[in-house]
Amino acid sequence: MPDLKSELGENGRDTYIPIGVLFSQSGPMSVTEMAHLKGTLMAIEEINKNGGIDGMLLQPIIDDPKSDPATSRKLANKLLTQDQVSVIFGCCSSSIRKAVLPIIERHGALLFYPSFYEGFEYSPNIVYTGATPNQTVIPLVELLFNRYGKRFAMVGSDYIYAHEINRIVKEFLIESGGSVVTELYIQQGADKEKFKLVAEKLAMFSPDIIFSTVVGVDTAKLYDSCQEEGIEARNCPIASLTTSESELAGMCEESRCGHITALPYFQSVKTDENQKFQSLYQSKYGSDDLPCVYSETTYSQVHILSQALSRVSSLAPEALLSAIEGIQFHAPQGSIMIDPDNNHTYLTPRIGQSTAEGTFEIVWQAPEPIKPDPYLVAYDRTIATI
Amino acid sequence: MTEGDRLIREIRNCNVVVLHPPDEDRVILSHQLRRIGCRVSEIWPVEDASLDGADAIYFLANPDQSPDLNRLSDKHDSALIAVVSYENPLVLQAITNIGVHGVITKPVRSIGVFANLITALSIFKYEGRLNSRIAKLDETLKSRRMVERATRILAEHQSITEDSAYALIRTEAMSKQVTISEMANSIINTDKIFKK
Repeated sequence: MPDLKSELGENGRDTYIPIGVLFSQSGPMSVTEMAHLKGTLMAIEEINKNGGIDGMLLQPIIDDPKSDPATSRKLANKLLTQDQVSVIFGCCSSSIRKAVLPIIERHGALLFYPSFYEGFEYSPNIVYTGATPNQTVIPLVELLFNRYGKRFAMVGSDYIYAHEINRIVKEFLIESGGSVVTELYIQQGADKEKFKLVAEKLAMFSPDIIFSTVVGVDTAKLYDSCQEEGIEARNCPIASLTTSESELAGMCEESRCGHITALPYFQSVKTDENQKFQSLYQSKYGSDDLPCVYSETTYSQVHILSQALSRVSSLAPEALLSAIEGIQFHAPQGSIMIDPDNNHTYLTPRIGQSTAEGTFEIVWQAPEPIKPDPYLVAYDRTIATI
Repeated sequence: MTEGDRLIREIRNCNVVVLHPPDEDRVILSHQLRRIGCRVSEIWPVEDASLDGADAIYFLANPDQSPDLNRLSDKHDSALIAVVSYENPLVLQAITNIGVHGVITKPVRSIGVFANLITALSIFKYEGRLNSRIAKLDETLKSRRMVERATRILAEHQSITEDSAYALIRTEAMSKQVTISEMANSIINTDKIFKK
């Protein structure tokens, strides 16, 4: 790749491709974003160990936005101007993505965004590698209807993600004869006492399901409080689209068992790629650390960039995007592919039931990768019940 | 379901016409419209191409390069959205004269198209509801004036109070199965003949 090498200033020794990495290592989203960071670094190390990209090594420039939108914006700007990166791996919550997006677009850069979010967005400068609501919300609600009932109590972290996901779920619920018995929102980072009050309120309604859009560090507080309040997962599980192994790790053993999560990856997925991924992960981070969807997604998106880079000798987003279009990556979760229609990802949703050990038993999985539909174009909002 | 919910859900059955010469902006606009679920037809040159069945029309509004604006200002069954590259008074006058429901500026960005279309459609629908309400009110006002006139004529003719005259008109209208304003109208017409 002569162009890229000269662009980066070959000095006769190693040539480095600087890559921005922007995940929060502190603040309310740190439990999730530390997992994002682990997967990213693991993939970079793996690629560099295998000779890099045509001899060039990926050089991560890591900044900690501390779960704060203004800091994220400042750091993204710094990465793009001072450090001269043109690709950033980062962001978790929607408020941070929205804060960073204008900076990315202004600099004509590319952001790899690994989180599940509420959809209704498309930027030509973002590659969205997390799931979209059509991929996980619809199968999840369907399973909950058939197994537990149709009376939902909703509880969420008070920001756009929770409100929009609940709006979508309500559309499906109401069109399919379900009901919402209560809808509560809690400020991110609220203390345990607040969650106790929330759990009390939830118990009062004796719903069939607690549908949670509580994210990050707060997840454990909610699950623990519900358990302490005597809400039994057997009769009334907490259903989530973000509670992974890394969130379970922060809970008591009694409170983390029997809940339902829909995600494209669980540590218990049976593929050869996952076996390799898991042993690589544990050799780096220790045998008692379980990989989760957040590490898996960031791991895969670094590999997708690396494959795209070896196809085109350019860091320009348009060139990279057109190279990414054709890539089918064999991720730990199975085959994934970026949809050129909307820059989101074809992936295989799964539903897991949590165990006391902090893992998930997979109770359902899609027979094949599902097309991402961030604007819910293809759905009439009804759920089939058996 | 609120009006907003309905609009957002119906976006996927929405027919959008884009009157814009082929360029990068048209590609971005049409792709984003398709991405949010609309059916899109791109038309250029416009000339006398059919615009029937369009829920919304995006049109380029450049002084030197826009479709027949008179034709668009007569188009009352679609939301109209101007695509502008110059914000100079000439263009702004032209689009306010047409009565557009929204504006999108060049260079077009994907982000913003969804909000722009929803706003334009909601203003267009609201305008439609207001217009049909105004038409109904006009009709009511006209008929009220007529009934008042007929009441006075009848009261004078029969030397009865206006209340009794009104009651008479109502009873007559009911027995002949016509509206009160139709009854009033025929009284006024009869009176005109007698006065000739």
